[in-house]
Amino acid sequence: MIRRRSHWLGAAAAAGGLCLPFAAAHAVPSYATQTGSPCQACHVGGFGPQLTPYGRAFKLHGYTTRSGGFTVPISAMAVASYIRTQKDQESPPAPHYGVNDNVTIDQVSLFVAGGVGHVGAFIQATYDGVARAFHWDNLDIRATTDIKLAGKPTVIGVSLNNAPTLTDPFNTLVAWGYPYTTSSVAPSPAAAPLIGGLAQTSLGANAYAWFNSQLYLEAGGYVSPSANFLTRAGVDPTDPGNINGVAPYLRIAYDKSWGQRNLEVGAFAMKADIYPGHDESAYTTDKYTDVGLDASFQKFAHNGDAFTVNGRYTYEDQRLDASQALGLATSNRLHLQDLRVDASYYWRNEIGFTVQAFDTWGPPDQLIYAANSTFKPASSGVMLQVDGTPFGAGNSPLGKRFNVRMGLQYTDYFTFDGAGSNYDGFGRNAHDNNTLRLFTWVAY
Amino acid sequence: MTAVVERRAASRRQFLADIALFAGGGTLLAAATAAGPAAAKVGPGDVGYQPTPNGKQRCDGCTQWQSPNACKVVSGKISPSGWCSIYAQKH
Repeated sequence: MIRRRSHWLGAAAAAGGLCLPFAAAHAVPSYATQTGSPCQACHVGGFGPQLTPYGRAFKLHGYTTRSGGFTVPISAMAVASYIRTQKDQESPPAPHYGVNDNVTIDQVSLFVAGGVGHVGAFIQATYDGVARAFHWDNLDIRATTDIKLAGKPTVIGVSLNNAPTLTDPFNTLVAWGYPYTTSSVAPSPAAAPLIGGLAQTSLGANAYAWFNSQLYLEAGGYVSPSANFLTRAGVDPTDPGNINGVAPYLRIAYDKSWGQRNLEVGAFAMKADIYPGHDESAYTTDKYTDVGLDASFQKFAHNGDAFTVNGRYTYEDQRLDASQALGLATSNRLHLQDLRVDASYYWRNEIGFTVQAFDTWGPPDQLIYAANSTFKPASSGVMLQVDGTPFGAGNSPLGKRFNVRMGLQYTDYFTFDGAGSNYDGFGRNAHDNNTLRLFTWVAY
Repeated sequence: MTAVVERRAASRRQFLADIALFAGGGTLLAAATAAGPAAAKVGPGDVGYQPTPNGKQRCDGCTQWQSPNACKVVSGKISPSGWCSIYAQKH
């Protein structure tokens, strides 16, 4: 799902320094049919997208694991929400909506999700109920095979995909990190590292190896499809802009399981030269280098309880030559840092509690962050979630494919777009954006 | 008139570039598909396999069990009295 800002900062967004993370929201019962295992085999808490070790193995095997004959590789999903902010928003977050107490059909998605032999796919098309428009969503087509390397089992594979980190098997990086579902009518901070902002506006070819279920290595390159193609695919080609040449992506992770415990530590990097807003008139680019560290821990009990922790730190170096030349940035040398950690406990794969702390910070710029009274990108806070997933074991009276998660999210902002109080220069405080969200997420 | 021709030429180039992108990716996938036996089963370590049961839960009572000593989705020799984290009772 692509998340659009409710209050768009035109020039700053065009500079690329304000790139939107997109919210993952996926649960694919066609995989459950294919593997003969219920949702909770692959997903912590019985619902996507947080993966168990088995779920990661299934993904890295290219979605090809199968327990029987042909199954229909089609799934559907829908998310609906009620959203209330502590104080009314300054203006309606989207046409057809009010300044508070909004009820939305966030998205309805159709998936082609399945695999056979060596080839598998995760292809998603989405109707955005807020924007009232269709767009292509996540795309991950893989081919894999098993080999022996130094006598150890190794999975090697390639992927054609449309978002950096979409290929990753862990729930630490931006594509599959918490929160797993959000609403585009809720206020959200503007600044985020570029690596999450290229989702669905880029196309990547990646190769990976998973050695002895422990060492994960991945390398890939991302390019921008034409503006014409992206427009037809339902996404904005100017957000954040087009990649000049190829943007390389690298990933390494070490993953160790013992008993019902699992620990992962890793690092990732991406370098992208961007023509901000698809504007090449400055004859130069903005150069972003994102590097980061991540870690996760999972502990599963034999009774179905699970405890998980995911963390990610990202440092983004920004050389904004193009934005400066175009009058979109004061400085041509900035950086952005982002840290987020979440912990969850799931009881019997049915009731979950999750808490996340997040913090984004960096130096000020009077043009990029012109709408922020401090001209800083800083945003921080905590998000709490409680959810229930009654049918993760495939025990729904509506059939094994039907699954649903109902949840309550509360986001408390300590700072928002640069400050805790009067962040916009018109008296609005970060706490005014505190958001209560009640959601229902259905998959079939 | 020249601008129109240039725009059409640029549009054609973009279209061909998009086709090349997808064709390149497809070729990569096809090349990988051509090698080796069919992938699929995951390793015992990926599912927390243990050769002992978990209470009354045993591999030979699971929907994935393949007699006499295999699993449909986990590789290697599997004990009928074993257990793993994706156990699902056979109905």
